[in-house]
Amino acid sequence: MLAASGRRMRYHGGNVKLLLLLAPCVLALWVPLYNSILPVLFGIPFFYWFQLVLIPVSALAIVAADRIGRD
Amino acid sequence: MFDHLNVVATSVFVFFFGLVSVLGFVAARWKAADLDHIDEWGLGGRRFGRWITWFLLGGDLYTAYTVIAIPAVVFAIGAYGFFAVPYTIIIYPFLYLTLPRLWAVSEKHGYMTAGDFVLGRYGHKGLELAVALTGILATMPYIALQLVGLEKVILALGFGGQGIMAHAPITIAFVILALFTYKSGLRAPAMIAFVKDAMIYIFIIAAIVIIPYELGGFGAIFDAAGRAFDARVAANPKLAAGLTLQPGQVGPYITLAIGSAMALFMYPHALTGALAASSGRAIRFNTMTLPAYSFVLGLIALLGLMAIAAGVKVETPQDAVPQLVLWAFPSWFAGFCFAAIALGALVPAAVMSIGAANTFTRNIWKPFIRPQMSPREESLLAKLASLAVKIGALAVIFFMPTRFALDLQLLGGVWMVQIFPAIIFGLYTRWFSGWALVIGWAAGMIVGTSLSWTGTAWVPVHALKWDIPLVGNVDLGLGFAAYNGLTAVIVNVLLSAAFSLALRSRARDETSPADYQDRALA
Repeated sequence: MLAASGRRMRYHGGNVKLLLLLAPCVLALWVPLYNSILPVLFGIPFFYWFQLVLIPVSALAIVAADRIGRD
Repeated sequence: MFDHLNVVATSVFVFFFGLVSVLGFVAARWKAADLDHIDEWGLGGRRFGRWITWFLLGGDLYTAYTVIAIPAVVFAIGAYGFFAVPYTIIIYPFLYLTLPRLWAVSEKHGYMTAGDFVLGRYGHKGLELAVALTGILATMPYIALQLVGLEKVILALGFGGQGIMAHAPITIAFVILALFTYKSGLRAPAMIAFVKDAMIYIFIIAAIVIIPYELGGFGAIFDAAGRAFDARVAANPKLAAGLTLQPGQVGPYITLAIGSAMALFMYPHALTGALAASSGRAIRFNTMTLPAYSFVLGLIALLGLMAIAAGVKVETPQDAVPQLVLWAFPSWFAGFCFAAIALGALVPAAVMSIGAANTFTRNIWKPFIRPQMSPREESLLAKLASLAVKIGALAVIFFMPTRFALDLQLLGGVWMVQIFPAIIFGLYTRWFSGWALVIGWAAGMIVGTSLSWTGTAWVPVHALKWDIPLVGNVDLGLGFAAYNGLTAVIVNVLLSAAFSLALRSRARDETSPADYQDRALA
């Protein structure tokens, strides 16, 4: 009983983990989403700042995915 | 040849270059071990911790050529050059999942190269040879292009010269590189990478603060670049350029990012850097921290737009960054920046020659020419091979037009991704068989290469329709162009799967599922 619920939790954690790893990739490849000038931030068009911001976000997502199932 | 030499910049440049050369030789004593063993010479004894690996991989993957070429594309056509950003975003989640498995199985069985792994997994020498040849073939022009990066900054220092003298500075630089790589092996680039990466970070932080200040802010830079692209497109309506992607560029942008990400860790130099790590944990740590370099790469790409706004004069777009540096900074700091870029050529060139040398020794010479080699002979052969690879790269620069090296590098990516199925699928399953993967590989190489040839020039992308002799024009109806490497690897996978159904493999698999588990996590 306990073992079964433990396995289900780990299975669930596995899904969240994959989702965390996959989400930044989907955003990065979904070009029509960010292929525009507006909104401009500090003079930088959306196309450029969105992708630059996505880099640290993707790194944090990997850190979060790494935390799942450890500790 | 010294008439226009920038003496201050050159002095700073030579100082840092000299410092690093000394480091390269001293590195032989670092974590001292018997360098007559190939595992020590060619893989640093697999003892690089998380931070050394971070510097080494960062220095190895984000090369001088990248620092010159990515902003050059942005300078020439704008947004399209930014494909390097999604490319480097999607690669790390993928590496987080796959690379620790490859590290674990390699450590367990002493694999040093992709070819070693393939032979152990599939028990198929033909596939091992295919993987090894692909790696060496793709690496040679890549090393040559590092020399192009080096030559660009030396040119910007004001060196002139005719004929053989024109190449004298890079020849000297490369001889030094060859000598310390021969002596110290992978320890040399690992140690130099600390200095090189620190210098690149200083260069970029200074550039990203000072240049926008001089140009009146980011808004002014993007406005000026946007106007410049509009003017170029007005002059030549067929040109696809702009601050955002043009409709026809979206498909290539996405597929180039995916295909390049799939290809990167198939290259011998990337695997060499990763397998030299001391644990799977160190590799996972790096998938979370290497994006710092990606961020810097994104900023470097913006230098292309700054060069437009600054109005620098160039002969080719590849001069954009060196000329921008000269425009923006005093001589002494320009010398510092050029030294950073030049060292950015040496680290990857060293690791690439080591990766190619390991591959040649372990996967071509040993299995096919002399199976009973001792570790000592292996190490000596690898050292000599690393020299031969560098001489080959110099010869490419001396005797071939740069265009040719660029084309080969472009094709190198298309070829490299063709070993992806054998390596990455192999980390999870033995369902594919050796012969089937060889057939898929061969088909992928042929399809990728022929798609890239337009009759007048080599191009990386191709509309998803083409003329097949006797069959006629095939249009997949998707209405967009895609990176040839990706198109070809899809053909590769389909054929590999189909033939695996027909040709079941009975060859021995020396690995077991437990070998792939990351022991640091278990």
